[in-house]
Amino acid sequence: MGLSNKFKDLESYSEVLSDGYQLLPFAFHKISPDKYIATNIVGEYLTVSRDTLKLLVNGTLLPSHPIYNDAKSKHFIMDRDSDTALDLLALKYRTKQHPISEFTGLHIFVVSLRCDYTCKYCQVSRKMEDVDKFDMSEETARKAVALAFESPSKSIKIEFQGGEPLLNFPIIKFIVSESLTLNIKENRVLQFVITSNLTFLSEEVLAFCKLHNIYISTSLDGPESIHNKNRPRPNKDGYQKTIDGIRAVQSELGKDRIAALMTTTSESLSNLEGIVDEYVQNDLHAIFLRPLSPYGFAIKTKQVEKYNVDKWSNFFKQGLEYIIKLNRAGYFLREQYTSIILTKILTPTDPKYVDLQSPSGIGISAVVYNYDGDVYASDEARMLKEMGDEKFKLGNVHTDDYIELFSSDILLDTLEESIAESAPMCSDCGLITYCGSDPVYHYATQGDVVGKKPLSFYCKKNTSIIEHIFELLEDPGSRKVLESWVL
Amino acid sequence: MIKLHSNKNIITSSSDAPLILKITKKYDLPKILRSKRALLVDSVTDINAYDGFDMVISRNKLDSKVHNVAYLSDDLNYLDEGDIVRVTPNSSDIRVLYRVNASANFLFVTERCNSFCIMCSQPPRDVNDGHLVEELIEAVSLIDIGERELGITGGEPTLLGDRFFALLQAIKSNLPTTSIHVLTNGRTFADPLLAKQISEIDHYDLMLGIPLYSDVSHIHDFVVQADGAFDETIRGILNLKRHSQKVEIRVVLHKQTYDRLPQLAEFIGRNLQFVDHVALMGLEITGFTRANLEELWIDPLEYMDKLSEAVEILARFKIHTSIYNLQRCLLPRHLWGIAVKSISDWKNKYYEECDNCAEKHNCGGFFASSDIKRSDNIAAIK
Amino acid sequence: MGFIHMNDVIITDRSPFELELSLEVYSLETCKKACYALMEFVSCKISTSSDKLLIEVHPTPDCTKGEEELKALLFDELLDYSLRETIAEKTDSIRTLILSNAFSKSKLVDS
Repeated sequence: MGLSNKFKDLESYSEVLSDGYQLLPFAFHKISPDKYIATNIVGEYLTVSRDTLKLLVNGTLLPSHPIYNDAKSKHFIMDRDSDTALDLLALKYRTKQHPISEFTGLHIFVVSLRCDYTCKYCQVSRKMEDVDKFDMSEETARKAVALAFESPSKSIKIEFQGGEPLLNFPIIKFIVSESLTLNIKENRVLQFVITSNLTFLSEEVLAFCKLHNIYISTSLDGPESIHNKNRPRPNKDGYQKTIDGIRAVQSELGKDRIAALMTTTSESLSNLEGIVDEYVQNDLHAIFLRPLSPYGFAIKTKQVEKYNVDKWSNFFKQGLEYIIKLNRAGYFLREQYTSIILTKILTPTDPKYVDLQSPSGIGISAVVYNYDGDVYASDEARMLKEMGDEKFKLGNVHTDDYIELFSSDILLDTLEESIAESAPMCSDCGLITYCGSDPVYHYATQGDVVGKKPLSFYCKKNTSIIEHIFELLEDPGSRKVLESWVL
Repeated sequence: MIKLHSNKNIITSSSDAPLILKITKKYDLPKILRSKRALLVDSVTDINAYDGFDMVISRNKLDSKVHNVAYLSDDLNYLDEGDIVRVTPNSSDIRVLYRVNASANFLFVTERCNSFCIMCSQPPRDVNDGHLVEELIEAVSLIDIGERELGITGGEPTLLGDRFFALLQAIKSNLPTTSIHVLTNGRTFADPLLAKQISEIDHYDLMLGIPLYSDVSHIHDFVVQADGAFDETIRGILNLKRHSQKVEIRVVLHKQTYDRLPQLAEFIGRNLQFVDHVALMGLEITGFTRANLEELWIDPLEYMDKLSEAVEILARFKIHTSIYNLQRCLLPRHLWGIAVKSISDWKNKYYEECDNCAEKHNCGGFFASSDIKRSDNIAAIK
Repeated sequence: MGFIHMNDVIITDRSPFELELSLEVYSLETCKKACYALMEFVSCKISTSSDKLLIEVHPTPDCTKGEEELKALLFDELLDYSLRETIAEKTDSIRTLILSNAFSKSKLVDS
C-alpha cells in the first residue's frame, strides 16, 4: 500500500507545519458562550468554539486539528510552507474596497416635495399645492445633472424621488434627456429609477419608461388594511392604485422592471405573513424588510419608539423564516437586506449599500440633489434637513462647484469619523466586515456621528440580523436558499 | 481508437534526419509547393509523378526501389489530406503531430517537468528533447489556416524558455485565427517577467490551463511532489492575470484531492475569482496513476456530493465551470449541463453497458485506459 | 418617583460593587473596552495602583441584571478583549504590511 517508492508521502510535505504559524489579523464575535465567529479583514469566516479560538490565538493550534487547514486556507494563519497569504489578502482587501474608488454612483434627484399621500411615517414634509415652491426647476436640474457627470464613477444611477416625483414628470423627462445628451460624450453606464407611489402612472409615463429602460420602485406595506393605514391617501384608495400600478408596470415594462419596498410600523408587526403574501400575490420576487427610520414625521409622531429593537428583530427573523419557507416551496423571493449582508459574507465583493459601508457611503455611494438645488450627503441627510438640521448639507448646485461640494469639511470630516475600523467597539467587532457605520443615523439619534454603539439601535439591529444569518447558514436547507440570494 | 505513433513502417530514405511532412493526395500539386509535402498514395506506381515531393507515403507495399518512400503500418492507415507527421527513417518511425479531423490537437513539446505529480498521465523524463519544439515550429508552419484550436502540452512547456515563446509566436504568425490552450503548471510564471513576456505575444485567444489540487499549500505540494509549487503556481496565476492573460484552473479528482474539493472551490472563488474557467476532471488511469492506483482510485460516485457542492460554490462566485472525463450515469442530472465530452477521440471508448444508454451520444465516455479501472456504477440510462 | 414599585425590588442589586484585577492579567486598555461594551448595563470607574486594576461598577438605572450576572458578563468581556489584544499584538505589523500592499500603486489584477 501507499504510493510507489518514487514518491514522498503527505507527512513529509507537512513536516514544516510543526514549526508553528504566524497569526494573521482577524476579529471575532461571540454568538453564544461557546460559539464564536472569527472574521478576517476580507470577510472570510470560521465558526469556532471558545477553546479552539484560544488555541488559535495563542499559537497552539496543531496541524492535526480539524480546523487547521480551514484556518490556513481562509488566511487566518500562515505557516512556513506558504507565504502567498499576504499577496492574496492584499488583493482581496483591495477588491472589497473597490467601491470607494467608484466615487458616487447613485444620484438622487428630489424633483418635487409635493405628494398626494399623508403617510404618518413620511420623512419629508408634504405640500400638494405650491408648485413653484417645491418643484425642481430646469435650471437646477441642468446644474445637478452636470454635477452628476463630474463624478468619476463609471456607472451613474439617477433615481427620482420626492415627495411624489411623477407630480413633476416634465422635469424627469428633462433630466433624462439632459443626461442622455451628456452621455453621448461621457459614455457612462447610465441607469434611471423612479421611486413612486404610482398614482400618476399614466400611459405617457409608461411609454417613456419603456423607451428609456427606466426602473420603477414603489412602496407596498402589505395587505390593503395595513397599506392604507400606513400610507393614507385622502380618497383611501392608495392600496388599489399601487396594485394597479404594479400590474401595469409588470405587463407593460416587464416583471424585472419593478421592485417594492415595505416599511415596518407597529401595525405591521402582527401581520407578517399577510405582508409577505401580498408580495407573492403580486408576483414580486424581492422584498425589503425595513425598520422605520428615525427621521421626519416618524420621530414627530413617535412612531420610532413604538417598537424596540427586540420587537423589530423578532419580526425580521420571523419574516425571514417565512420567506425561506416560501423559497423552499418553490417561490423565489429574496429579502434584500439579508441579500446585501450575505453577499458580504459569502463573496469577495461588497455591494455598494450606503448604510452598510465603512467609511460611510454618504456622499461616496450616494448624493442627493434637493428640489431647491441643495446638495445632501445622503437621503437621510435631507430628511434631517426637513426636520430643521442642515448638518449634512454639502452646498447648493447654484453656488458651489463639484470640488467645493465633495471636499467640503462636513463630508470629509464625517467620512473620516465614520471609519468603523477606528470607532470604539466597532474596531474590535468580529462583524465589522459585514456591517458599516451610519453617521447620519447616529447623529440624528445620539447627536454624534460616531455614536455609542452599545446603545445604538443600528448596532443592535445589525448584530442581531448578522448573528441570525450565521445561524441560518448552518442549516443546509436554509443555506441553499440564502445562497441563491447572493447578488 | 486511433494510434498516433507507429514504428512498424517501412521507410527508405536518403536522409537520416527526421522529416516534418504534411500529407497531401494532390499529385498535381505545383512543383514549387511540393517541398515538405508527402504525397499519400495507395500504391507506388509512376515514379516520375512524385518529383519534388519530399516523400511518398504509400498504404500498400510494392516491390519498388524508389527512394524516399514510406510504407504505412496499418495503424496509421487513417492518415489523410492535411495531416502532419514526423518521419524518422532510420527507426521506421512515424509520429502523427497534427490531424485535420482530430477532436483536439495537442502539440507535445517536451518530456521534461519540474513537478512529479502522483497521478501524472505523462511521466516526465529528464531528457534533452529540445528538437521536439523545433519540429513543432516547423509543423505549425504547415497547418492550414482555419484550425480552431491547438493545445500545447508536455512535460512542462514553459521549461523551454524562449523556444516556448517562439512556438507561440509561430502559431500566431502562421495561424492567426487559431486559439491556443497551453497546459502548464504555471510555476514558471511566478517570475513576473515571463508573465509579461507571454502577454507581449498579444494573442487574441490564448488560455493557460493550470492545475491547482488543494486550497492548502502542503497538500498541493504533496500531489505535485514539489515543495513550494503551490506558492509558485498561485503567484504565476496572479502574474498572468495582472497581464490580462486567460487562465483556466484544472483540478484532477482522486482520493488525495476529493475531500477538500468544496474548500478548494471556495478558495478559488475568494482568491482567484477572476480566472476564466475551472475544469474538474476525472482521473485517467495511465502513467503514474497506474503505479499509485491504490492511493488514487476512488469510485466517482463516492465523491459526487463533494463535486456537486464544489460546482455550486463556483456557480455562486459566477465562475465558468466544466466537468471533464466523467460519465453521465455517475453524475446527478443537474450536473449534466456542465459535463463536457472532453476525451480526445484517439483514446476515447465506451463499454457494453453503454450500448443501450439513452445518453450515450451526450456522454464523454471513457479513456481507453479505463479497462484497468472504472466505476462499479456504470449503467445505461433509460 | 413612587415609593413602591415592582422594579424597586431590584434596587438592592443595583448598588455599586468593586472588582479588583491584576494588571499582569488584564491591561488597562482591555479593561476600558470591556466596560465600554457593557455601557448599556453599567457605568464603570476604573483606577490603577501599582499592579492592580480597580473597577467600581455602577449598574445603570434601567439595568435589570444582578451583581453576579454583571460580574460574569464583565469577566467574559475581559477575556474576549484580552484575546483581541493578543491578536492585535501578534498581527499589527502584518496588518500594516497587507494594507500597504493593497493600496500600493502597482496594479494587482484587472478583472
